[in-house]
Amino acid sequence: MMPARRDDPELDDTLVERAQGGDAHALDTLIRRHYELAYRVALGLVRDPDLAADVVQDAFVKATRGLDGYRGESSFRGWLATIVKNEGRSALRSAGRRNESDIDAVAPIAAPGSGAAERTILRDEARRVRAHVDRLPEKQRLAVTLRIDQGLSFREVGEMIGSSEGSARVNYHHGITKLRTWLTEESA
Amino acid sequence: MNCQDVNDLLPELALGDLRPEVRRDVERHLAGCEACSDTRATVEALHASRPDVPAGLEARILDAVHAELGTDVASGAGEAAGGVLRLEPRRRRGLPSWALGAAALLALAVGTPLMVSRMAEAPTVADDETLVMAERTLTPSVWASDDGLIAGEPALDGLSDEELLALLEELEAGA
Repeated sequence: MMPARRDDPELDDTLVERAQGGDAHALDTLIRRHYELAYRVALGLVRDPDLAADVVQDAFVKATRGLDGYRGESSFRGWLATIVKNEGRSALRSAGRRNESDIDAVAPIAAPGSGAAERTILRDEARRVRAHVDRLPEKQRLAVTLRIDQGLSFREVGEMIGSSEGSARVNYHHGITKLRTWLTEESA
Repeated sequence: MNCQDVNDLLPELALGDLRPEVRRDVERHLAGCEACSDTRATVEALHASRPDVPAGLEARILDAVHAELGTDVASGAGEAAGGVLRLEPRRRRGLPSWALGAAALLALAVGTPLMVSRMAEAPTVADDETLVMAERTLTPSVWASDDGLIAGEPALDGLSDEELLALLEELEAGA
């Protein structure tokens, strides 16, 4: 089941205003509303679950320190995503970028079926296609994962990756096309 | 409905978020379009392998933020969260871990001889509360762990903050 959408900028702005005034409950609510999205942005960047968790924790601490500086020029989610991305890039610089994923040859993905055998095949292929996601360029990777994993609209994806809705759509479709191409090449 | 429209809607199809009439149109297109059907398989596979958010991440972030602020986490955990709510058990609140560790060590250092001496002075049949307290205090295998919490058998670790503070006050008053 997908998480509930958290795209209510007016509620966020109200919560930010209260948190800036020292309301700890408002701050907690902001964190609870957005930590999943922040984690997925971090994971899309650093591609390592443990490092992503560190990144998102550090990002929220920095966001809290800098909350008084948030003036609402962008949405709170966009502002937070920028902090997460900065933290993620900093963490990657510290850790040293990982090499490209070493992916074994994989079979083509079958169309989803309803039987147990088809579901087993789909699970296996799901793991394989997920491994390819790490090979995508950053914006395409984020567009694909935020669209599919978090269920964001193209407008929301654009907000997260710092681009227009149209650019988010293009990045998403390029990413999906590359994934299909790689999978087809492996099966050839 | 053309290929672009269908491809835009494939994530919602995977999520089951499409209205029935839209889903019917998408399915009709997919039945006759091999390219879109292949893309659907890719999107379905991605959706099936969607990584989980780590359990306990929400609590970890809240703890880190409030440690930074020097405040406590407000109540209402999870009321606004719509996804993962698998919070790991939280450590006992009320005293920081270093204080608990220090308190336990102090209790061990001061409390053991005091309790022994009290037990020696105690009437032949001690009341239940005294026996329970002595048993807790004298239980062996109590060690301070790296993070200042108590490891090993329950002993002092089984005491609440209030019980621990009361014991300390009593010990300090009697020492």
